[in-house]
Amino acid sequence: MTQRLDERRPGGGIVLTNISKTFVTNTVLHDVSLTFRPGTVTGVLGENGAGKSTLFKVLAGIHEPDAGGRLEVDGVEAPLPLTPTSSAELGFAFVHQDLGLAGSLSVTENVFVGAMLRKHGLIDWKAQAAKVRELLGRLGVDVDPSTPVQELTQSEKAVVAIARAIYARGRASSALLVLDEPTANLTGAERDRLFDAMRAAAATGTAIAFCTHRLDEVLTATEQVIVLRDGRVVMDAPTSSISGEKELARHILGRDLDTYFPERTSRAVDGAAPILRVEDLTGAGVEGFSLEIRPGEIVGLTGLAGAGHDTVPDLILGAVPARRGTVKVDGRTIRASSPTTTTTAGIAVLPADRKRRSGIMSASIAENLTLASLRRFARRGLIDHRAERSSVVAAMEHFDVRPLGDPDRALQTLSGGNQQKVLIAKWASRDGVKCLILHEPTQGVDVGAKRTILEHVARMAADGVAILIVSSEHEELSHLCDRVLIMRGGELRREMRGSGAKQITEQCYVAA
Amino acid sequence: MSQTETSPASRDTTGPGPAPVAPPPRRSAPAPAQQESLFRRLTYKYAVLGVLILVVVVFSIAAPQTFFTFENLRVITSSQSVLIIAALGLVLPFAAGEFDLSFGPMIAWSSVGLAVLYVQFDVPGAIAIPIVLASTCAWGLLNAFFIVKVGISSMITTLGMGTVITGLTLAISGSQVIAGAPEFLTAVATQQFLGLPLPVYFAFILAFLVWLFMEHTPLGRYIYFTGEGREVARLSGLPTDRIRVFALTASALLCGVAGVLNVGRLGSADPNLGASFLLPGAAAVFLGATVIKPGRFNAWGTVIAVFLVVTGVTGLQMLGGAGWLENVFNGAALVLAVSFAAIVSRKSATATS
Repeated sequence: MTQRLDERRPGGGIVLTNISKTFVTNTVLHDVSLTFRPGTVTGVLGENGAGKSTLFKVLAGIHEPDAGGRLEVDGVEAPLPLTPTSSAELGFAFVHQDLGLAGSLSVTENVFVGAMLRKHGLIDWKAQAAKVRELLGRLGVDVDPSTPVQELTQSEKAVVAIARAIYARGRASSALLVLDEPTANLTGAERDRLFDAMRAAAATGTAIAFCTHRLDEVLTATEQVIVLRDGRVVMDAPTSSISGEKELARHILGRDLDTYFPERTSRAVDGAAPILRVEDLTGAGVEGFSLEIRPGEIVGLTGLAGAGHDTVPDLILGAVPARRGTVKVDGRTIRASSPTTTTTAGIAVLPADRKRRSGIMSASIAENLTLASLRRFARRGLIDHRAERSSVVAAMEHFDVRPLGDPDRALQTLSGGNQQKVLIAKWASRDGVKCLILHEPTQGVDVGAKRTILEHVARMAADGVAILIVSSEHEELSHLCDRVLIMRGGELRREMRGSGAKQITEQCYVAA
Repeated sequence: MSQTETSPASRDTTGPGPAPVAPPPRRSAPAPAQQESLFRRLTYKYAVLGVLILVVVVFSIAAPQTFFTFENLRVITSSQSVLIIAALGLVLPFAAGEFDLSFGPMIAWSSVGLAVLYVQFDVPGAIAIPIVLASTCAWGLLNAFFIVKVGISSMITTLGMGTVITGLTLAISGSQVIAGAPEFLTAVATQQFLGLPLPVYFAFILAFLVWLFMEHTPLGRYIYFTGEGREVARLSGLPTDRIRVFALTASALLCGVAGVLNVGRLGSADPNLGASFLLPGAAAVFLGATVIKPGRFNAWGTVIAVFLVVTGVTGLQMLGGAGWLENVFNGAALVLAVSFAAIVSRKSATATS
């Protein structure tokens, strides 16, 4: 191993040549050739299903590539297919979106899981703590190594995951670090801190592959950009040569996309009675929250992490008990607030945590789609499966859920964007939804799906539904919303309307 | 064990009940190519049925004089009708994500309760039967109270409650087998139709009803949702707490029915009956979740699994196997069933991600 390391030429990086991958008859990677250079942050972009995850699974030794491909690491050919072990030996490290940390364990325990430092056969906690401090320090983060991971901020958690991946097996640095959407849950300053850590890791000579759906991040945080579409590399260029997000979106989608935000064709009717009226809602870090939404109106709610906006959907729904306050739908107060009573009154909530709170991953597309409207298909108490199926097929087409025509697939087999389309369709196909609350509706969703989702939200508003979008994507809010409310410290601080809402930036949160 | 939905760090599982210790395996998910997935789907959809047929064929060849006879079929089906009825009841709480390990003791409770009322207190059968059914339902409600209201794990609750019920059953019976059964009950339980006793038909009618309920009514599907994605179901407005109470109580009621029929079939009630039902019942429900509708506890799968477990035991005994073989076979069937389900789910998860 050490001998082979010495043979490597410095500066070679990880070179993939003609990597293809076919699942039985379905080719998902076509002759992919690319290079990850040491010390360079390379953005890897593409819609869900473009082949990114397959590519990384080949590198992780999970998928076996078709014959004919080549892989070189620092000038030395590595035999394909890789196994998880040989991938780790080459110094390939992976950090996934969910980070895979054990929340109740300390930073030290998380970093050294599986490879603890020992002294006389016992765990050497002192040495481990010192080592963790040093490793995290190198990535620009200073935390007490005995802190349980669940008490860290999102960016600190991500850095701990990176530290664990890079320094696994006692390595000084990795050859390649793949970061799969590590920023999906981060906002503003948190994200910048993660980028600093990323650059610090690159400075040790590690090649970094950074996957994200947020195009603004690609422009600020990478030096090289690779775009995959339908399993082919369609763009491989230095970031400095890229004119802007539109150029990236064009390569990702293969067509022009003037904007990923749909035009609103309708606006809320002035003077109409509000559908949703929240008064003095208090609890779970929110103080005296009041809000009115009229039919057809789209209201945005945002704030910095911990500002309280994230718990508003659960408070309104009654999933988290409120200390005081009322929620009224069409002037009628919801008594004994619980998700059941609130939903019955006509409020629907699309939670942010798609896998645990929004979609049943092991259930089929059809079952998820009709979960909230199943009664409609009951004839004398029994489900009319034919009617249900044809309605699901129509909804899948209408919401452009891919792959089309297989409603019995488990929801977990779909990409994030398509899962979200199914879950929006779930509420859109329920009768009597008067108010829809969407929490981070485009998180972890690619640009194409994002547009489809927002289009349908705009359409529901045009049909007279009152819509509340709770999101940290200020650009999305400013394009889509009639007004945007900004929270800070658990209270509503500021409201921006009409053209004013177009100029929301992160500064607004801080100033709020 | 396959990956569970609850990671140690997740704090958003507000439902008081824990995720099942052995999570229901995931659903079959088609791999990119249809032909491969179709083959695989068929393979594991009917694997258990194949094993059942194989077991029948092997024993028929090994013991053609005793095993492959109508008499044996009659004995197997009629002796297991009670187990099938109780196991079908178990499908509901298991599908809702709750264990019920008190079902064996509840069967014993209802058997002994009926015998005590009828024999020692001279209560007519027509009154005694509703009383024992109601009291068994009450046990189910008490289970539900601790699991849903107090928020204790169903495994712990039903394990403890099962022991309590066993103790009380011994108390009311004086630890004795009580002989005697209402005449009309004996008549119903032993009456034959086309060579098979009526309880066999009851079991199959019940299997049909449970299948109809779970697959074709909104409430049945809500029960599956409550088991597979409780938080999702709750936030979507489904009354998941009431659904769990219902599932646990319905299971208790069917245990009561099974216990009553058992008195009619045997003409006596044994307070130690519970233990003999626990393992084959649990094994059958888990094994049933690997067949017909892999990944979901289901009615016909459970029926097939009961027959597999029982046929295996009977065949081994006919070949001169010792009595302890029953324990070994039942225990092994339970562990293997859960392993098989876990392997299937892991495969389908990696094939599609």
